[in-house]
Amino acid sequence: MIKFYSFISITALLFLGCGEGLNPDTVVDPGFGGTITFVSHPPPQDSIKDIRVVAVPYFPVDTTFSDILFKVTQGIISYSPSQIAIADSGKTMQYQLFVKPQTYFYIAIVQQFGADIYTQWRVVSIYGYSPHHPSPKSVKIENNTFINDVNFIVDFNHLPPQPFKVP
Amino acid sequence: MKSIGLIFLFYSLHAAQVDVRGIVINAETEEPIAGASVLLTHTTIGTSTNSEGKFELKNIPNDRKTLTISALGYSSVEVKFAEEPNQELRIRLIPSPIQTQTIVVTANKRGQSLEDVPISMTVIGTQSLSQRNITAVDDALRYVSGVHFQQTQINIRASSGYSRGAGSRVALLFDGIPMLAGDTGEITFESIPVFQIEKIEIVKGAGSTLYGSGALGGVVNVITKDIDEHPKYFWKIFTGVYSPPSYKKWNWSDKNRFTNGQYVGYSNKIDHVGFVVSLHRIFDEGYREQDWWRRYSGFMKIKYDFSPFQSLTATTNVFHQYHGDFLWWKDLQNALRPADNQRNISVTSWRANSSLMYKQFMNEQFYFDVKATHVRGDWERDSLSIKPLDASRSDNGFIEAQGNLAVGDKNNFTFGIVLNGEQVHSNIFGIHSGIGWASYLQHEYSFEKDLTLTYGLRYDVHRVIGLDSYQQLNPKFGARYHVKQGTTLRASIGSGFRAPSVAEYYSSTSNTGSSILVIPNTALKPERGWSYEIGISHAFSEHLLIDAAVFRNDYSNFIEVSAGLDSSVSKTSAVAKFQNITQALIQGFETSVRMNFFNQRLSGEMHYNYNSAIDKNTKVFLRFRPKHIAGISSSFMYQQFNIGADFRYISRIEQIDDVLVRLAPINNGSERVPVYLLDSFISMTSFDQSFPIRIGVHINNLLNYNYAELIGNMSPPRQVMVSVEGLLQ
Repeated sequence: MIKFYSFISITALLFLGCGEGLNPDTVVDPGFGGTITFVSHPPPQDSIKDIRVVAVPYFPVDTTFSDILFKVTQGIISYSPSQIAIADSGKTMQYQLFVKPQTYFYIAIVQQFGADIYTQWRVVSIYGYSPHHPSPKSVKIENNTFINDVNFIVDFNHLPPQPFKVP
Repeated sequence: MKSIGLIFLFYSLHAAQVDVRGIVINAETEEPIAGASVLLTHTTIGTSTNSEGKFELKNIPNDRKTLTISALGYSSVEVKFAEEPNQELRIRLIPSPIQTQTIVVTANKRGQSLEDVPISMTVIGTQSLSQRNITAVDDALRYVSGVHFQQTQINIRASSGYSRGAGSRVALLFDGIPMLAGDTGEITFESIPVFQIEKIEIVKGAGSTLYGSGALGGVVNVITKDIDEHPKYFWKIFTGVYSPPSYKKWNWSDKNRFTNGQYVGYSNKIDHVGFVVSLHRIFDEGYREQDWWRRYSGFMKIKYDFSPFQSLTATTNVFHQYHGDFLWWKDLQNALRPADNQRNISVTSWRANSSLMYKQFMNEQFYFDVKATHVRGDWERDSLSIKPLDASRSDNGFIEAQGNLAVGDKNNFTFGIVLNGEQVHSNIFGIHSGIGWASYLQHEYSFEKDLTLTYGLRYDVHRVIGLDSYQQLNPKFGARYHVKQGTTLRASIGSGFRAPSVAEYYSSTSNTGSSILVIPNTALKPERGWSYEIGISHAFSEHLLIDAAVFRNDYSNFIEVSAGLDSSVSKTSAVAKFQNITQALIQGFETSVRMNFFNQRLSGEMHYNYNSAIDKNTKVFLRFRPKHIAGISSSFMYQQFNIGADFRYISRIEQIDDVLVRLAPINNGSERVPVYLLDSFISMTSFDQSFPIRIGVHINNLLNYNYAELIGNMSPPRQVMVSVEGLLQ
């Protein structure tokens, strides 16, 4: 009988040790989000292959876009998982990007305007950039923290400085 | 005159046939044992006991007077009977808490006691399948020590990771015949007719010396039931409902989500012809959006006994499935909804396997069998606007001739030759065919009763047309030593290999549900591995047995999907292909404790498996494998009632494919937790002779624990099921 009670006790201990598992509310993935406001009419649809948010943990970004892509695959640069929908002039969209906790010195919206994913990209908005404030704003993301209000304004008629080298 | 005498002798032998009836009972409780195997020794004649423990064998030649009777949980016995006509035997089986006397066939391709097998094996019996209301074989295997699943992909002792179904490092056999898909090389567990299963044998470790490609990490052999001598209708119905999602955020449907199934079959034996035919249908509305499925299958087995020593068995199984395609969740906040770009995708599949087996006992020392099978797989993946997105049709042919020769009491030789071929037509794998052959020889030598040595060799040649052929030589060595009554040592060394599947060589698709382009790689080489194991089993008493094993597996040329960027291949998307990436060292130990009290009324099992699965190149843990697997099962029988529970613990998966999570992308794909899973059941069995029936209530995931067995895939919540099954005879 001792063996039987031992068996029951071990079983009970194991049950007590388990939690409730995955939970959408307790998991706060580190990241940031906000709004994207379009202030000009978008370019023709066939020139918009893709639009993403990228978060780069260093600045200046003085490289080719293919290098950016390789750094995305290595997890160094974060990249919004799905394409951001384009809105008409005056409309505002919501977005979210989950990233590794660290400081991001350059956060931008990039547009793929041709089929070549290695070269045909351009920057259409940089967080914190304006003609009066030509440096991007950095954002520090800590563990279990999600920061809102990382907002962008996209003006296809007045693009910010392009950081990408032509390969 | 001499010839007339011989003819007279021949006819007199066959004319003097007798019938044997009997009942098999538990020696301690005197209760009947249902499902016990009754075999006329050294013949093809056999049957199993009905729900009342009764059996009947007809037309037994008078020169055979020995029956071998075995049942899971009991010591098997050989019974000699007299030449009296129409005699009735009363056979008493002694409960064995350790199942050591169970007859298994998978380990050495011949029937032998589990106690004499030099490798780690587990056997699942039909009662276990029924108690747990198992509707797909993978659900039964989840309770086995050292076995872990990534959704439907099996992983024995950390041999496999996850490759979305392309290639399996575990060989699946159906009555000893390989049953892997010709195109992807994957196992479709759901196509196996669970209600026809007599038992499932699981071999842990490399088994390529007897079973060839695929048996790198282990072998699963599904063995179907014998045909009963008497007409018998059998049926089962069940229905169940999933609990609503644990969190409001996960709600996606206002309705309860149900599953239901029906199964009906008939078997009979008329003169020399026995047959069984059954139909199954299972519908599941799905606990996740777009995760519904409908399955239909038909199974038929016909056995013709030319004589007690010759038989021909034909088996056909046809399976059809239509289901929604749920690759991964939208994100953890929408864990029961598919990713936006995967909506409205469905898969239609057909699978048919037909086989013929001729078996002949030449004498008490030698028998042979010839097996031939054809497996057809056909599937199509459709979206609302594009039909098909992907489609594939494959045919696999397989012929094997096997002989078994016993020389004296000490030597046993098993040998055979295998031919196989496959053909694939697919819009993602192309049109390809392959051919191969193999031969094998194994010798078992028993020095005395205490020590048995087994060694063997298999040579495989295979070629996919258009590619280089490959040859593989796989040796093995095993030893079993009975130290004393109840204590046995075992040791084995064996090699295994897995040839790349056509899917791994030739996959070419952009319809991956992600932004990744999959490209072919015809330079792939077969994976290879060596398995080493030392184990001991010791019965402390008739109530308690402990088994422990230490194992080590060295693998090379592991094939895994590698995703990344390659501008020389595609300037428009990331690319992925199957590659021989790494060498791996997987080692660990496994232990189990089995208990039995009160004449087997209370039984239990605890098991634990530790795996260290290291990539030898990068020194990091291999992807999609847990470090710890543990389980506790117990059941208690009182009169007609049986109540039980199974608890499983799987530690948090150590490593996942981060690149896949980033590039696919799978939102919150890295969210994973340890698994704590409790299943329970209660059943009531009526032994009414005219209408035996069993009613069961089964609760899976009783704790309603939320976990992801595979990245981005929430596993089922609590599910309550009611089943009723019965016999008409």
